[in-house]
Amino acid sequence: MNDEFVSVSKLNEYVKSYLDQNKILNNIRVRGEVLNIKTYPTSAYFLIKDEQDARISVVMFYRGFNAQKDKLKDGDDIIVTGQVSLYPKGGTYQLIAREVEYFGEGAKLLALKKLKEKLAKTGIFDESKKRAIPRFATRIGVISGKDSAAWADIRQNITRRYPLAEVFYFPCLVQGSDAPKSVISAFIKSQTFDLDVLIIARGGGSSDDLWAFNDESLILKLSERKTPLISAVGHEVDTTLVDYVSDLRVSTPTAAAERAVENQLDLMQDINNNLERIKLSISNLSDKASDKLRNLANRPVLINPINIITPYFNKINDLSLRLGTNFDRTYHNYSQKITLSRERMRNKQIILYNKKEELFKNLNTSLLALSPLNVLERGYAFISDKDNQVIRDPNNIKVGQDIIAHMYKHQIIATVKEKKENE
Amino acid sequence: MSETKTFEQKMARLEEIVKLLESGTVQLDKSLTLYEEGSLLASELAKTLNEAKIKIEEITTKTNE
Repeated sequence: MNDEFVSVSKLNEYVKSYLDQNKILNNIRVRGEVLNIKTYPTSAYFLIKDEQDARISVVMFYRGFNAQKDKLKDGDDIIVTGQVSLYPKGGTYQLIAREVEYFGEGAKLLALKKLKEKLAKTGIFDESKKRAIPRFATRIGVISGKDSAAWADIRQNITRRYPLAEVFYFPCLVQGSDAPKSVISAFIKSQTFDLDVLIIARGGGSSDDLWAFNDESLILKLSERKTPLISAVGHEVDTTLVDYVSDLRVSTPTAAAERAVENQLDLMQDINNNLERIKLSISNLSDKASDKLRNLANRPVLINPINIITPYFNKINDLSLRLGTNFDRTYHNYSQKITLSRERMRNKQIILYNKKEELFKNLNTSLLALSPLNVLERGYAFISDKDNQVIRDPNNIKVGQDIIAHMYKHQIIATVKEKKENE
Repeated sequence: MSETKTFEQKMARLEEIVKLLESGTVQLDKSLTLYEEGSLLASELAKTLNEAKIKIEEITTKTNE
C-alpha cells in the first residue's frame, strides 16, 4: 500500500494545466451538431455531437462574438474553434469557443470574397458610378418580398412622409434558390417605368437567407440600372454585394423610405421658412428705400429750395454793384421822365374834362329852352284828342269833336264849335 | 404658367427667389414682383402637399409565382 495520494482539486488542477499547455488542444477546430443549447445573458452552453453520437460540452462567452451567434440553435451544423480545457469543479473537460461558424460558411465566404474582387475589377462598385439620390423623388420603385414586412414598412413610411409620391411595388422572391432570378425579373420590369429612385429591400435573416443578394448575375444586372438605387437588405451587420453596387446602402427598409422621399412636415417648414425670408427681405428693402428717401428729403436743397436761386441773386447784386452809379443815374432819369409825363397827361385830361363839362352845361340849357313846357309857360297851348294823342294837323279836327287843350299846368276840355282857316 | 411646373421646380424657384431677395441686388419694384411670385408659389406648394394623395401600384412579373 502506498500512503501517497493527492486531493481531487490537485488532480483536476494538474490535468487542467496539462491540457492548457498542449499546443494542439489550445487551438483546435471541431465540427459537430448543436445539442441542448442553454443561453444566458453573457454566455451559452451546449453540446456538439458527431455522426457516431460522440459528444463534448462547449461553453461560449458572448464577448468577442458577433450578434449572429446569439441565434445558434439545436441542430445547427457548426465548426467551433477554441481551446480544450478542464472545468475543475466538475472534473469534466470542455471546449471553450473562441469562434463559431456554420459548416460550409468558410468556403462560401471565400467564394464571396473572390466574386466581390472580380466584380470590383469591372468597376461597377466604383464611387464614380454612384448616382445621387434626388431630393424630390416622386416616382418610387420598390422591389421587395411579396407582402413582406419590409414592403409594409416602406409603404407606411412613404405614405406618411410624402403624399405626392407614386409608388410602384414589384413583389418578388427574396429567399431561396429562385430568388436571384425573381429579383432580376422584377428589376428588369422596374426599368421600364420612369422612376426617380428604386429601392431593393429585404428584412433581416441569416446569411443564407440573404445569399440571393450576392448573386453575380443579379449584381451585373443591377449595374445596368437607369435609376438611382437604394439597398436595404438585412441588418446593419449584414453586407451583401447588392449594397456595394447600389448608390446608397441603408440598414432598414424604414431608412430606405426616409432617404427616398422628403418629409412633408420638413417641406412645409421649408416653404414657410422661405416665405418668412421673402417677407423679411422685402421689409428690409423697403426700410432701405425709405431711409434713402428720408435722406434725400433731408438734403438742404429740398428743405430750402430758395438755396437754389441764392447764388443767382448774389451774382445779380454783384453785377449791379459793378455797374455802379452810372446805372443808378440812368435809371433815375428815366423814372423822372416817366413821372413827369404821367403828370402832364393827367393835367391834360383835367382840362379836357372841364371843357366837356362846360359844353354839356350849354347843351343842357339849349335843350331846356326847346322843351314844350317852357313854351307853355309863355302862354302857348297844344291840342290833343281825348286819348291825349297830339293833334298837329287842323284837318284832323272835326266840328263837335271833344279835344283837350294842354296849357301850362292845366288841361282844358272843350268841344269844337267852328273851324276857320286864318286869312 | 406656374401650374405646369412640378413641385420640385416650384420649390427650386421659391428658393431662387429667396436668394435673389436676400442678395439685396434687386430693384424695389422688381422685388415686389418677386415677392408676389414667391408668396403665390409658397401657397401653391402648401396646397399641393395638403391635397396630395399617395398612389400605390403593384406590378407582378411572371417568375414571382
